[in-house]
Amino acid sequence: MLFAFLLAPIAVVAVTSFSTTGAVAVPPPGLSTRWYEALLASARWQRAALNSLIAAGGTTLLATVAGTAAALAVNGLDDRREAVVLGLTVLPLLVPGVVLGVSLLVFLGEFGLQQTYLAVVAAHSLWATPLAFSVVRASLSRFDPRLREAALDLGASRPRAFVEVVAPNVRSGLFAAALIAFVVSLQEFVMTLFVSGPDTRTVPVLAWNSLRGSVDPIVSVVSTLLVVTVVLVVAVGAVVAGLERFATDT
Amino acid sequence: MSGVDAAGSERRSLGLLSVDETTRTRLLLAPLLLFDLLVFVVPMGYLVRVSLTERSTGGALVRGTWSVEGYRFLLDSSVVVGVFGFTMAFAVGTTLLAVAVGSLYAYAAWRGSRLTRTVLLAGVVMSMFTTLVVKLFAALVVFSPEGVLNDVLLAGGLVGEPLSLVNNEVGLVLGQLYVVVPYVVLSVYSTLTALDDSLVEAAADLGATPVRAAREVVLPHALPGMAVGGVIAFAWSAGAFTAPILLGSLGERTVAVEVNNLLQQQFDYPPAAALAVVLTLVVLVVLAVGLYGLRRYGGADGV
Amino acid sequence: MRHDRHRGGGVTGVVDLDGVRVEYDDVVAVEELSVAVRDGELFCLLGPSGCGKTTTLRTIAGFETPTAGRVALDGTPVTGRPPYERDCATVFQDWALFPNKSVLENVAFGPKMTGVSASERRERARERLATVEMSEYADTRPSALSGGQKQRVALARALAVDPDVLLLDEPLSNLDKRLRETMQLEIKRIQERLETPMLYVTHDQDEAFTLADRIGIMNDGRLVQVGAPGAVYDDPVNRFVESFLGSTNFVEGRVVESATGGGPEGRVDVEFPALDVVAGVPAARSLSAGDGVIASARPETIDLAPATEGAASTDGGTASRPGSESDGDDGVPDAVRLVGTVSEVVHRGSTVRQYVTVGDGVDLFVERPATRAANVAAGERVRLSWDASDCYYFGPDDRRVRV
Repeated sequence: MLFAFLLAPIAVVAVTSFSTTGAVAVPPPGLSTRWYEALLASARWQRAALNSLIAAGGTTLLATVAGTAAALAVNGLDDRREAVVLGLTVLPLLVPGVVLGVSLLVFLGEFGLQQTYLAVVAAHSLWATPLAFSVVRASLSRFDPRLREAALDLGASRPRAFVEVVAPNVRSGLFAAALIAFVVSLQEFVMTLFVSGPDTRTVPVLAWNSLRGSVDPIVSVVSTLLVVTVVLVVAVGAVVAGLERFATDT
Repeated sequence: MSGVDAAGSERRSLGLLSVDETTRTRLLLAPLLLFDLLVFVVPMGYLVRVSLTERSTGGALVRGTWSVEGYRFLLDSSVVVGVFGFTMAFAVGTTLLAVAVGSLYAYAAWRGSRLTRTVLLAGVVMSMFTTLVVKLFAALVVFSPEGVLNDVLLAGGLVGEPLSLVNNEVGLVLGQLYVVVPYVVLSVYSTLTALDDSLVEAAADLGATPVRAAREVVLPHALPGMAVGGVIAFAWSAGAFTAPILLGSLGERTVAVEVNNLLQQQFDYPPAAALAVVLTLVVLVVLAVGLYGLRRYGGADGV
Repeated sequence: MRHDRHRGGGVTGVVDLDGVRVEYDDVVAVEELSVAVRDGELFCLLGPSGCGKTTTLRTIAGFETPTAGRVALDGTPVTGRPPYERDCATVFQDWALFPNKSVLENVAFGPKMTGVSASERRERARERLATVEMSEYADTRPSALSGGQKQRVALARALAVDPDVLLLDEPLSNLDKRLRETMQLEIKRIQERLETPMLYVTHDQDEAFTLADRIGIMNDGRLVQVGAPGAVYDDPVNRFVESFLGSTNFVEGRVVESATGGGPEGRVDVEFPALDVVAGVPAARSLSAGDGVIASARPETIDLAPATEGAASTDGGTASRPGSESDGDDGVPDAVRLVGTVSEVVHRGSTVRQYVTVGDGVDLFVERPATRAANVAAGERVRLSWDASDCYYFGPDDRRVRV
């Protein structure tokens, strides 16, 4: 029942994306792929898709690197400092997106940096980094520190020990962190709405703009494709990291 | 002993990155701290500064001035006060519903067979990772008067006329539930996985029926997870922006929507910034209280 | 071994298992298991890990459903009933104390579930805490207790429901050795005082011997032997029981042409190639020439003496075939005598173990109380001897060969 509540709308949208008419109706009067064709022909949507990929790529890189480094570092901190770092990292997740969007818009505007890719990546990373951080940290906490000590004891330098012993053992965690960062960027909307411009607009923002005008069947198509993308990414993540862990670490 | 020291210092000088523990920790933390400083702390500080500038009629930011006009506007404007009250009521209501629904869902996933659990969790993760716009658009398609649900209900003769499920409070709450329930489910589920099966067995062994065991053993254990989920749900509902615009009506404006109006339509920076600051403070205070409560009741791992 | 079912009007057990079989997926965990726990007794299920003893206990408690067979508690069939409808209580291996409840609340939990009034259940809980000497910890949280204290609380909590039978699932395995021994005596004392029948699962034979009125030994999902500790030890039914109940020396042998032709005494001659010895063995007629036999010479039955005195020097070899000392009619001796080299002496506290290499490189060991052990060191030559009739013999099917 609840499961249906969660997922039925998405299924409905997927069905409507194949409709022959412009009105969103279920069941659709006929099936066609004309809206898919329309999407492929649209330069606006292509640009948005490209923007989404650029933003997601940049976010993945930034969030995974910063998050992993910090996750490695917090072990070396005393409890109080660890709590401070933890708090600072997680805090942006709990500040309303609109507030973050507005603050970034106003601040970056001072330097003429609003509406750039940098702005979009920075905004997305604000949410992706804490998630990447906690996924890597959870994965590190499952790692037996004695393995690393053994490597150091056998003469490996610290970077060497990380590459040879730590990384292979937490690889699935790193991978999951990167995937989550990617997906967070792909789906982020509120902050992007504020900090992106016509040239850097991502798919959700363009979908929003289209919806504000009128009900646009292309949005059904885009939604379906976005969901399919996310399902694929999550499926890959689930296979690599195990769904249970994927779900509980996030 | 001197031999060990010599070997240690040799190793240290050989590896370029082999620095002492403190420096290493600082280096590793640097990217994150720098990032949070530049993209979070400083911009938020700047926002506070903007909220304290003088208002102008021209729609431009008056730099270098100091004034509390922005905050006074908030207090004076009954609209804003009303919006605030509405937002809080909406956030609390949504949070309670989300915690109830999400906890039930998590419990079902936890109790279910392997297959059930996999399907239920996959559904949640998928829903969580679906962009807001798509989720809410989908909700609109299903719940609008011409939507699928009403079609079904009308066709089945269950209702005489379409239920108004969007463009009102119902739609707003419904839409926001789609946004926050997955987070509640996952935080409750992750505390449940830490619950030792033998505790539930022990309760049954001592005569507790499944319902009784759930209340006496599972519920207390899941409370921290429910609290964390509730905190997230509250923070996100208090800042709700997309759902009110898509599924609410003009009467259901939230603080975030009002911030956007002031900024993007009236270009009135100080009140917009002030409103954003107050909203953030309220959310953070509620969070702090929630987390404090969690710690007092013990056994919380945090977010 | 099996009791008459109550339907037959015979002894009714507090726990009756009848032909119980439990399967997980494709694995049979318990098979054809029938046993009755008598009123007032402490019954130990003993076996190696994975033998199905915990599954058996969980089946009685109601956590597992048997695929065949019946379970009855105090004469009432309970097969298929959920755990909360059974009048038994379990002490779990990891104790499973509710972390969010105080010690007193934990103990009062069972009575609370059965609707006992608040004041009465507190009183009963206090009484049970007194039984396990934990009264002063009533308001403590379980997380603040030591392992031994948690153990006591778990025991009190299970006793507080006044169960028909108390089920204990390796309750002491998480404690260190000394604490474990103290708790064993404690449990026995409580059991004797309250006369609550207990079914106690363990893999530790010392624990089983210390506690049990009767022992049931399990292997591979089957109940192999049931009896009083002494009786089981003196009369193992098969090779598994013999090896599981203590350390022993197994020596492979083969029945050679029997000199007595299976006369009334039922003697056969068994050759032990690895020891290069033939001995006359009292045995059942079931054995015939060519059958493989395994002898168990327990370390306490083997005599060890320094080889310096006597005729040992004439042997010249690693083993002797002392035909001159034959005491049988036919020249085959009833005793085994060997000469070997001490390879290792191990002091085990109250006893000493001496390992001796004999014959074809076979290691045998002898164990004696430290005060009575022969004073020999590694490398010394020694004589070993034992009476063939003191050994236990196991036939080709691993069953004990009875006289």
